[in-house]
Amino acid sequence: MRIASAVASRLVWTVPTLLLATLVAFLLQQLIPGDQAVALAGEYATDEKLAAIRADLGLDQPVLTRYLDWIGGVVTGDLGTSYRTGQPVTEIVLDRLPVTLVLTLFALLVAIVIGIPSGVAAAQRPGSWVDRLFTTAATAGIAIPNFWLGMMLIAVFALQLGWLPGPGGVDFADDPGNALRALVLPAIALGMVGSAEICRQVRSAMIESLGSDYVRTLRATGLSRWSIVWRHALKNSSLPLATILGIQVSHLVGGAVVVEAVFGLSGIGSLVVEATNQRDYVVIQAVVLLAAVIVLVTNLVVDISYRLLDPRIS
Amino acid sequence: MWTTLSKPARTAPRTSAVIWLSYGILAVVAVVVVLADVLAPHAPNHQDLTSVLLGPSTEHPLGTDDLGRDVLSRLLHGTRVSILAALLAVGIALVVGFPLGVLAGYVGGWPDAILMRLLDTVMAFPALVLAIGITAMLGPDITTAMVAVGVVLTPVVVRLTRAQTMAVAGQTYIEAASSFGARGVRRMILPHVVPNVVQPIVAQLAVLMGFALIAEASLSFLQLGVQPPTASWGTILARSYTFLERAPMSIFVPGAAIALTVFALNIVGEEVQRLLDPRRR
Repeated sequence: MRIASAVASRLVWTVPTLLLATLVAFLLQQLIPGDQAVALAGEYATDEKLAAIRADLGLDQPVLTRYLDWIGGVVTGDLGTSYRTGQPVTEIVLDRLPVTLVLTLFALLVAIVIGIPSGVAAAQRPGSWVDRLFTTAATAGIAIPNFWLGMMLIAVFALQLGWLPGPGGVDFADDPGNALRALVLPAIALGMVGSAEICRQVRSAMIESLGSDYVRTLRATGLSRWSIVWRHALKNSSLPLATILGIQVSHLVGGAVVVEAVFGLSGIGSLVVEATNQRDYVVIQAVVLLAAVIVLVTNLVVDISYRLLDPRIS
Repeated sequence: MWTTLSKPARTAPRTSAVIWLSYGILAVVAVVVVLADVLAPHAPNHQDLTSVLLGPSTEHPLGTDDLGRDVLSRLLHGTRVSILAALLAVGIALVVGFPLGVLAGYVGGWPDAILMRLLDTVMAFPALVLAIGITAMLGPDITTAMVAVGVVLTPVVVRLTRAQTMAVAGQTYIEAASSFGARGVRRMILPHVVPNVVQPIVAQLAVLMGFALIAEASLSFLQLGVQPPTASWGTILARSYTFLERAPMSIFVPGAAIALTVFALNIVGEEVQRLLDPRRR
């Protein structure tokens, strides 16, 4: 029952946002300067060709009709047809999605594995040299562009040392082992900024938890420090942690675009860049919408999970 | 050692050396932006195909790229392009976001509800993906790219301003002004609300600037921002990445320039926030 009501209350919020997001993604097309048919076919296209494109894309219809048409397709999983390749956009996008999802998950793992322990360590003694070291490192980590970090990792670990594969992804179907190895450097490049942000959030949440009354009581009962920090205080810091993880997914999906370009991975990030160069507007629109859907679904899951985890939230 | 835990520690402690270093970095960047023409030893786009990919020398302190262009000169000019581009994006976000935030926070009610709903939607898009989407539609160049970055930064400014305005609107001095008949934009919002809202936004500007710089570099790296041959931090990195195997260290300096500048901006932003915080005293 609690699960059902938690899900329902969040869906009431998410569905309208999702609808508005489709509107934003659709209206992006209205930004194309001048005549879209000319933009697609080139300046020297004949009038018949332009008319054909207009009819084909429904450009002769009012904007609202086109939106309703498009959204009707989106709901049924039809994102339109690529104007460049003639392939269904849904097919193109689904083909590229797994690489991005695996990369994002790997990067999230990197961010968590580095971010949480360093945040906990920094929170032990605020103001100590350990704390200063970690917080300064975290500020530096946030400042490093992920694609530059990726290039540096390639220069050192792929070109100099030859430990890991450099740019150029491997198809999962061909060679799963090497495909995963090829994702190690991109995941580190992408996850490092996230680890710095997680470190800062965990630090401040842990300082608050460790300073609270129940921790003092736990200490009085003679519980070991390890158990207080990791079992009790960290658990009570899990709400801000869940929120930051939700935000991280958004950052990681955005960052994946550039990191994929550096490492030559064929995910939806490199797809949107290719589509931009080819002015394949339908594909761009689809990727932008998909990115928002990934973020909204993640936030939905995060929200529902902490309603279930924390009985204080009703 | 446990006693230290109860002390409030909202922002990270900083040694003054790091803070002064950051002010120093920003001062150097500012000087480069103003004096790029004077400081650069060569023209940034001057090609010399007889001296490609040279190492550092007195003639070319940072060497040359694959077209024989002086890397230092390109970096100096690129700094100006990148900083001005980021300023444009932050400027757009401020000009659009600040008034909206003040109005939403002060007026409240359904205009506020609608605006926040819209902004929530815009924020559901990963910032860089939406910026790419907008840039792709408008046609890639540096102005459209920075307009796009300005658009994705706007909700951040609106939210900050709105929260601050709501806090200010509940204060006694606003009630007092209102009881003296202060009303409307000219008599109430400009003289009483805005001055008390501005400060925290100023501290955030540095952080927004850092985001805009990285966004410029990312978009230009993807060839969606600054277009070659114009130098910017992003285009220099993109170019040097193509000859990474022949000159691996050529990617180091432009990336370090971005990282150091953004680092300094974040440190100074935190410091300004700390200095402006009344609870500090």
